[in-house]
Amino acid sequence: MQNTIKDIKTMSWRCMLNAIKTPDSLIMSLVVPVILLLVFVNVFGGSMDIGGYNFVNFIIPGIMVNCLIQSSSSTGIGVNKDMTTGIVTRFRSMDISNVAFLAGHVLVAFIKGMATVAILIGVSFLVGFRPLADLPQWLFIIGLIMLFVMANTWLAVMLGVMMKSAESVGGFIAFYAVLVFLSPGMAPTENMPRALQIFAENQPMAPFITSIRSLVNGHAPQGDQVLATLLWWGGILILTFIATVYAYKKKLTV
Amino acid sequence: MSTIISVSNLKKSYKDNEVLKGISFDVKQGGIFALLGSNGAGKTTTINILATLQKADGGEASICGYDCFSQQRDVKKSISLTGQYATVDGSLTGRENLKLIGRLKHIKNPQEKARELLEKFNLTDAADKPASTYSGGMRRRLDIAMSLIGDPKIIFLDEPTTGLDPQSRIAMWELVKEMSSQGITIFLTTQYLEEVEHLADDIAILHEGKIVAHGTSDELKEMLPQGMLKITFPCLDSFLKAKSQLDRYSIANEDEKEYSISILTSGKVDEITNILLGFKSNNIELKNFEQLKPTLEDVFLTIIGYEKDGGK
Repeated sequence: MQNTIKDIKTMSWRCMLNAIKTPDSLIMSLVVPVILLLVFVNVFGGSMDIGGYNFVNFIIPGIMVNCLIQSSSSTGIGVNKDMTTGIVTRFRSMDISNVAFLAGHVLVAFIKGMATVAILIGVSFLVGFRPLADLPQWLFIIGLIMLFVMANTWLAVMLGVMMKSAESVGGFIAFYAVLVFLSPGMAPTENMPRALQIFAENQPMAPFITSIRSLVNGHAPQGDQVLATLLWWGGILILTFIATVYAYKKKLTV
Repeated sequence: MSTIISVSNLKKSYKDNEVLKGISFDVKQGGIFALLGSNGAGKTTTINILATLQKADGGEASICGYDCFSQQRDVKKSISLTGQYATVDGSLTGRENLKLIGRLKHIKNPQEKARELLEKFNLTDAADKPASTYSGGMRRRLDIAMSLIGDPKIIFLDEPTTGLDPQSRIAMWELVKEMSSQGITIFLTTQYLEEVEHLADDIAILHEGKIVAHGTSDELKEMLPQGMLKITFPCLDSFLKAKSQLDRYSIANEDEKEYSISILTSGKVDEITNILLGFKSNNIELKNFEQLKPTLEDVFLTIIGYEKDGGK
């Protein structure tokens, strides 16, 4: 047990070094969302009817989702490279607990995700973000973001373990990040075509976005939206966790 | 010398493809053992099973007295595996790679060990550059340095020189010899016969999932006829005269245009002297004369060729 903790520390140290040495992935996961933020605020901000919200307050949850998914991409790609280039083989020939490798990646991805959100929120203040949440609401926001980051981290790790190449992991996550445009995140859903509206309002990102949006604007979120967020992302977290562990074990015992 | 690796009737299939059809061999402690075979012969599978990465379908294998299937943790502590492709973390520096392995092996002072190995492996100048910028030879050296951490009793080297330039290959051979001289048992796989001839004390040839030959380089060569003589004559006349004189030897090859004959002899000096004296007393002129010793390549190709014909 003591050794397992030591090994997890070592693996996290390695992933952290990797993250620091390739800051481009952190920067990229911020650049696209920040550009989106600027474009939406400066181009669409004036023309969109969003029911009396401060526009940055309206758009920030959607941008945040996009940002977090982009940042999970480097995790998925990193895991996949480790799996396919043989370093995992080296680890496995050593007396190291099997969970240490995954745990190291997950821990660092989680820290990376939370740091990315913090930076994004910092930047958004510059373009007019004026949150109205009080302390308990902020704690609520942080809690929901933690759940969302954790679930997306495991999703990315799962893709990294399962997929054959880093390119397909990157491609899949890029596609997944686009789904935020088919949600209430970037524009009100009322004006969407009917079929799209049904999808946008019921996909898993929707309740997370509406809950965060209510909270940053100082409203109590709707109970059903919070419940849906917990069920969707708690469910995704549990399923991707189980699938990852299963796929990892299966890949390792040829 | 005592046995350090013992393999008996090891079997492994991937779906319908029978990769190992029951192989058995022992490896003696402290030597350099080479598993030789063509691509797809099952070399990597064998290493992976011994290094506890894969499960066998049947048979037994033990390392340092520990069972490779039920005592995996003890086996892992006794070995180091260097895979077919240099498995270093490209974005970490050489020093960080060594520290990483040191920490994972729970040694006392990973920092100091890293410094020592960088010096020993002549990587000090590149120590703080990312491993992805290293040349093939440097990556391999780093890879081996990483394998030495934690004082393993056995090092598995899966095709250690594949893809290296000749200079790096020779440097790698020196390194392997040095590790061996320190008492570490080396288990290497290769498809280069030259490498085996140069390094290995003990050779097993793996072909189509079976060990088809096992012994020292000399023992393997003795499997082939020794002392083939190739004699070349200056003219057709001498060639024909000589041919009739040599009729009690089996002729391996003759070339009427080159006026040359190759015969199989016991390879003993007496016999060769008698043949040459025979030419002299019959006034047969010689142009050239050479004794052809079988190479490991001949052995390898003969065995594999034989197996192929036998299969048909």
